[in-house]
Amino acid sequence: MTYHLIASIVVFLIAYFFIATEKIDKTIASILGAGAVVILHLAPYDELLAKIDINVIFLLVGMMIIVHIMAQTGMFEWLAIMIVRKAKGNGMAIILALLTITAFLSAFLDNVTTVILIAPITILVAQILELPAVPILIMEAIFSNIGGAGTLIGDPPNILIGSSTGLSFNAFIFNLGPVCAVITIVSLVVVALLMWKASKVTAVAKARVAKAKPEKAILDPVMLKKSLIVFGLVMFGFFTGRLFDIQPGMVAVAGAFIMALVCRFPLVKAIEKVEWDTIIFFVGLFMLIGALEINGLFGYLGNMVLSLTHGNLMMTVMVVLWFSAITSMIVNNIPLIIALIPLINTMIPVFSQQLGLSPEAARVTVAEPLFWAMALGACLGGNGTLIGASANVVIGQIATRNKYKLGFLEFTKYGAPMTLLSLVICTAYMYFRYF
Amino acid sequence: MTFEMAAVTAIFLATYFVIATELLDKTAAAMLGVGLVLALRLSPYDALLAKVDLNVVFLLVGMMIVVNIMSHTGLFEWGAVTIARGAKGNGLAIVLLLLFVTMFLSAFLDNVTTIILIAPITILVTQILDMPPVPVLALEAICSNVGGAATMIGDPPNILIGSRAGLSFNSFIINLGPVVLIVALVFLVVIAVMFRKSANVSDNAKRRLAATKPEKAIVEPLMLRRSLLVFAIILAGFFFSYVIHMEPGIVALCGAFLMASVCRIELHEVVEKVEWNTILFFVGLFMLIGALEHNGLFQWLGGMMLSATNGHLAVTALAILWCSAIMSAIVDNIPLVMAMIPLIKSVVPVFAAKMGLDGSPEAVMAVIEAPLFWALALGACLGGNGTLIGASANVVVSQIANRNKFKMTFWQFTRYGFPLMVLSLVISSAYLYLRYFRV
Repeated sequence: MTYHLIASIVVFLIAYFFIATEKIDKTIASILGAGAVVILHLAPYDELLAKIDINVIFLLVGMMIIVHIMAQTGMFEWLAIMIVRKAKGNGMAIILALLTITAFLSAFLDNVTTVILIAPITILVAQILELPAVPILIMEAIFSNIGGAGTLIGDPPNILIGSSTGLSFNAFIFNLGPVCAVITIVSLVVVALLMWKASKVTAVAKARVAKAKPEKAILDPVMLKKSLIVFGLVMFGFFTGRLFDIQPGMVAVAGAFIMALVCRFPLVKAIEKVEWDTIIFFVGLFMLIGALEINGLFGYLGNMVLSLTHGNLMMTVMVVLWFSAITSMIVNNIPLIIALIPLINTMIPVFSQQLGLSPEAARVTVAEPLFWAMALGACLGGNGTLIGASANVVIGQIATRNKYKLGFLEFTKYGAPMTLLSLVICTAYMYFRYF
Repeated sequence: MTFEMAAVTAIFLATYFVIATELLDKTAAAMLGVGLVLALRLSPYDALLAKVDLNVVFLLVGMMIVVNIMSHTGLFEWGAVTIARGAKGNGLAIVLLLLFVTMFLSAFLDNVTTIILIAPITILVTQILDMPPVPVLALEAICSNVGGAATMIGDPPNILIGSRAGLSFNSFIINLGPVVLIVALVFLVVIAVMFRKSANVSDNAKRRLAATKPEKAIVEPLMLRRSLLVFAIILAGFFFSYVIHMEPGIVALCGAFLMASVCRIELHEVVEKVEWNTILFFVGLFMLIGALEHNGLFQWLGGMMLSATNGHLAVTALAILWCSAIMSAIVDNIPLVMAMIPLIKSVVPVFAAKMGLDGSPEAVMAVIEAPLFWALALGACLGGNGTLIGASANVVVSQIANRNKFKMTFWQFTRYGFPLMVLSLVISSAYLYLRYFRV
């Protein structure tokens, strides 16, 4: 361990302490932490700037503008009332439906996009039925991370693993889909038990629902139609973008500006409403984690962990699963994945020689389980804390903006046990399916 | 010229047309231009993202937050009233003083920083004295670009040239200082003649001014002291940034957040007040110009220009001056300078061989290389005055004006900027010729 690495870790932990205890605003903590890294010369400024993922920032900015414009039409209110009426004011049914939709959507959309779309509806539904909004929002972030783990395009770690190992879209669904479905179902049962009492809807609220007229919610039908057309284009862009190498960030930003122009919505106002504190928080976080990455922390940790289990394939798979989960609870999972992929690639020949396998067989019995373990750990581990995954940070900010208290501790209270549960399920799945 | 280069240039010109005619919001135009470049696969997305100069973005965001916090204390009102009273309500004296301060500050600070600091004071002064603020603001942006040309740290093109061509801080002042000083004095005279009439202050405004009490302007004395302390740290950071290897962007951003926490300001409020529209416009513009750069447009143009003048040193220098000025009136000057530096370096040996100076690198540097780089620096810095989007300071000043309900359009800026740019280039041409190429 070099001096630079130790100092970067210390700066990171101090910033993390302030973020977790909420002693100072988390944006201030992350930017001052990044500044400390630069002042202390722990990493070159240019390289740190290069670690800022502008694509993620574009996606956030674009989707926030889109949601703000669409919110003006009254569409979210309409959807919220429709959902409530369809479920006849049954609180539990509504919560479970929202979570299932979240998991399903985020298997195909970016988690952040899913959360930005579902959160405003959820807040409205919770207000109509007087349900506690914060636990539902937290659960939605968690389910978006679970759903995202199921497919190649659901979560950035999977995209990285897919592109650098050549594993196909179908291979991801075959291998990760079943376990994600099991985790989703088990988690839904847990949520149902947890929220049994809290989801009771009062008679007053039910009476209010019966009287509500969904069609009254639409404030501007022309703008609604126009914005839905652009929204359809944006969704189409997300799905087909990968074929043309167009990343979702650019699709979202271009879509947002087109929507503002088509709906004649004042652009300056829409841009003002973007949660810029969150954006700046991500900038600082990217730089802080970038400093850890530049100084080789992830490679160092990965090597250490793998050398401990050298020789036993099953043990290695489990260690990869739990190690990547615990690490991505604390830091963003992308740099972790980038560091782990080459390490795993170096181990494959060692194991295949030991087991006397041909390259083809080694790929199926050695390489794939290791990569699946890494994908599950990185995606599900993000649920552990508020800053483990981007979707969690975004949901925290949306809740705070709507005057709900959703801090680090509130999130972790739900997130950490759910993560533990999902990892136990993954461990069992990995064992039975591959060994 | 390849097909990609032609297509990207066409998209750029179309976007530029939309921005200049204000058919669409300029941020939307820039972003849609980038979207089109990507949809047609003219440049890879990653390459364009890498062209976004986050250091500039950080500087803008940080300085906007700093100014916003400091404006809560009443400091700018105090400064405005004090300046107006100090000049005894003489409008012309105030305008010239503001412009002179702008030039001086921007020789040592970033142009954008200078503008973000001086613009709020200017708007207040003009309101007190019932003067038109838009021309004064436009001229401030122009003067900041002039002042920035004088030193190595005044403007990004100079920083680039200094670091890549190995020219020292002092050599910039010795070679560019005199010509910038001449341009500045000529500008002030021209402006004094132009403003002779419109700078008259009504008796009414003068009486109002006499009745003001500057000390009443300070609303939050405690916060003022705290914010000034952090502001001093930021300025120290700017001046020593090249010594401590911290770029101004991160200094400004950290300073801003430090100031917010020291002054106990609700972060959300000040962050919301940042001109995010302008920030996104810059991001789009960086990517669009990045696409031109990625497809080799600047190299192509530079190569063409040099081959047209090949063989005559003075003509080459003047061609570099005027072409880089005209180019940087249209696009940002940084990618242009980055493309031109290697081209200039490649023609230096040709001239050296022709003039029989191969053997002595010092002579080559003094007679051939340095004059060509001074021409590039003057062209790139002064050319930014040509249009509203030629330099970052211009864009920022127009956005500040618009935010304060004074409309500053593309043409309103260009009406002042373009003639002054031509004037400054004529002066520079004479200077370059007389100082370096007179036989």
